[in-house]
Amino acid sequence: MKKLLFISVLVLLVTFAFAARPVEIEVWTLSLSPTFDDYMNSVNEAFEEAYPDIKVNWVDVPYNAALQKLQAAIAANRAPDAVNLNTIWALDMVGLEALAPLDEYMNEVEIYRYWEKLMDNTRVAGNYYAIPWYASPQILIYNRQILEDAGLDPDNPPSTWDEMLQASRIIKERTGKYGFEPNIIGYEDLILEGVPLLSEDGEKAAFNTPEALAKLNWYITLYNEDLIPRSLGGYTAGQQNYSAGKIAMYPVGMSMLKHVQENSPSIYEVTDVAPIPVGEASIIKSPMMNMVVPINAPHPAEAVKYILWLTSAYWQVEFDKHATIVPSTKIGLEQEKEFQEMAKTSANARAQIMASSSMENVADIGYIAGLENEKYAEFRRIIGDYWMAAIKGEIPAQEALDKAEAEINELLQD
Amino acid sequence: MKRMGQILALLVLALGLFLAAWNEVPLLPGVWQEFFEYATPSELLGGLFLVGGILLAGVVLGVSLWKRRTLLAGLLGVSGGMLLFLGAFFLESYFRNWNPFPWIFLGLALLIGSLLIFASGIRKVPQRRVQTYVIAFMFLLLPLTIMGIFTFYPLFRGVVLSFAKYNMINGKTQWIGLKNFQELFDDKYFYISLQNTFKYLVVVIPIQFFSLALSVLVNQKIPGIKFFRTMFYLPVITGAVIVSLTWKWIYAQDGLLNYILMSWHLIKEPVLWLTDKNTALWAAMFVTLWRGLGYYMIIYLAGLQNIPSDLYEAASIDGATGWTRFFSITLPLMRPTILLCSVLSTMAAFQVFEEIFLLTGGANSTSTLAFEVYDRAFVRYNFGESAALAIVLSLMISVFTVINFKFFGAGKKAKA
Repeated sequence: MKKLLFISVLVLLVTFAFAARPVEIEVWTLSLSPTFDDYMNSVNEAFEEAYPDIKVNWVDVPYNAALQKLQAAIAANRAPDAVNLNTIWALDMVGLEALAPLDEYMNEVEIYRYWEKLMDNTRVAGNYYAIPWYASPQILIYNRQILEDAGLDPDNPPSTWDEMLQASRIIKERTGKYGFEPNIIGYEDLILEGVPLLSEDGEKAAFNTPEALAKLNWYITLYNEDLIPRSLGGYTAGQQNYSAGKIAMYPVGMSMLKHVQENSPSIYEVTDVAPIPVGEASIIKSPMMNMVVPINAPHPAEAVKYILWLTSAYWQVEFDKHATIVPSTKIGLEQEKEFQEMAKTSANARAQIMASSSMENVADIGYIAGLENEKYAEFRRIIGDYWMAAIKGEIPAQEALDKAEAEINELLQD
Repeated sequence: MKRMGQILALLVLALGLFLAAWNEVPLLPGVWQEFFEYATPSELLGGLFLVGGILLAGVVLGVSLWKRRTLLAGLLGVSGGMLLFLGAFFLESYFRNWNPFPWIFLGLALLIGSLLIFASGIRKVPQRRVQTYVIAFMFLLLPLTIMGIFTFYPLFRGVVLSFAKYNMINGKTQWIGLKNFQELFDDKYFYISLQNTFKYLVVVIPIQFFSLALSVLVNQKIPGIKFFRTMFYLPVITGAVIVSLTWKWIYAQDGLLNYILMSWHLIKEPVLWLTDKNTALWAAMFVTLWRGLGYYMIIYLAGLQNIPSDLYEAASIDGATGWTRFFSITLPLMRPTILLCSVLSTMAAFQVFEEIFLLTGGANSTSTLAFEVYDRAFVRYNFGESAALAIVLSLMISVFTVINFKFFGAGKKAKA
């Protein structure tokens, strides 16, 4: 009898012990450690204080291995609760049915805090699959010295793409240097110019328009007149060429500033920032970092609580003091006194305030609405290949658009 | 005893075929869809196992009746029985309305039958030899298991995948028959990459020629020759990423190659080696050549040093010159090595991936079959099509390996 009593008390105690134990959520971020250890730890400690029943197990994964690790974890049913992904990856994972829709864990008050375009980046079939975290919108970074050498006003860099072309001509003529290095991605150029990619019903290509031809001809002029490096190396080449002082201007995500500052201080000294010229659609492109919840995450509700905490305006503004990025929330950096002070001396802070105040127009344009997930890569590839071929003069511009249109139509019909 | 076993095997074959004809084996796509839209590969494997088991029963019968190899028949029968058990086990866990018992019964019958056949054979074999067999098979068992898990299973799985649509996250596999292949043959990038892969074969010839020449050169006994051997081998042990980055700089618009060619007045304007679609593939091929030379040189060197020196001495006494010695002694005796190297370099050329991935990323009409295999699987998550492409690629490699053997392997037959 005594034994029985003892055992039942023991069982009860153990049950209570387990019941009282806080839920532990596993959170994955991309390559933030060790640079942002202090920041992340303070976020997590504050969160655990505010929600004593949730414990955070923060894991930082290297960027290049992240997607593979996540896929393996989900497939093995050992998924983390909240994961940091860029938009393209997040959409890929939605296509694989690997992410949980977050709608049921958020209310409209919480959704309202973030910019609509950013929330819509990862909205598929009416469901939100991610909460935007931080952005690195495109800006124009430029070398004041080269502009001055070319006799251009370094305080008034070009503000439209046509002005970019004109300025590049002058720079080439007077200094022999290239105007800028574009990162050419065919379908993104079309989106930025407000050219519809697909017809309303999604059955046909709709991008063979005069606007598309005009943009293509703009590139062809740049290429033929040797105003941009002809190797068309895009992002990586631009990074090297700008840091080496070979190009005057570089339209790029703002986090590039930090790179220039660290790797070529002499160029950074003459570097200034301006808003990037926008196309017809008035969209500013920005790679986004988002937080998502895997489909088989053990604690999705707690995970969303954490995500809302991490991406809150308070913690994002705090984060932006340490990194050249801007918040995804409607409360931005432009109101922050501290940032306005910093902007007087630092190009980084100037860029951050500039970008933050135009966040309304920022979007990560990876997603093509109405396109089946498995055709997405093929779609990008067909447009990209013809776009490039036309720029390099391998085929005439109009023929390139015609052929791309025909091939996309064939793809859509399969 | 043997008779009994054969009757059991016949029974299994007949009943199995009968059940399969009644669509009891969910293998055919039509039947599959009846059960469920999706299945995991292991369930598909189950169906294939059952069919394999039935067919093995037929093989057991054939081998024991016509060839009278009772031991072999017995062993085949045991594996057939195992396959039937495994198949029943896999399928039972998936199909709720599916009855595994006929198959377990058949597996049991085949197992008993083949053991009977085996026993009848083993009685005639001396005790000593039985022991040798048992020990030998024990030794083979472990490597076979490991190879089974890490080589044969992935191979088999790849074949299954090529007929299916597969979601790697939740393991759902939809059997879609030949649709992957159909889509492949409709895709223009398949033909571009096929063309490029064949163009890439061109690299095999200079690799063979130059590495053989190089190995003859470094086979000389002069002081400091080891230094040269090391230097020629250096590109092989250098990481592909480093090599590609370096070559990317060399090929750049304002890179080393353009600088040299322009300062020698060979070209007026810089050539865009990796951007121009007329030069990009050849530029990548040159990197492969450069990386491969040292590797094949070492193999050739080993072959050269295996040639007995008394042959050369005898030839010298007979008054043979350097060239005659090379063509009459070195080249014929190097034939097996040449075969090995040409097979290896052909296979490597077919599978070229790193250079393309790192130098051009498949752009500018440089994509190859192996690059497409990667792109489809890990960029587009279309594992079915990727597997289908991989199968086409491996079939092509097999064909070319056979051609290589016919071409360079002929000498061996003449000798025998």
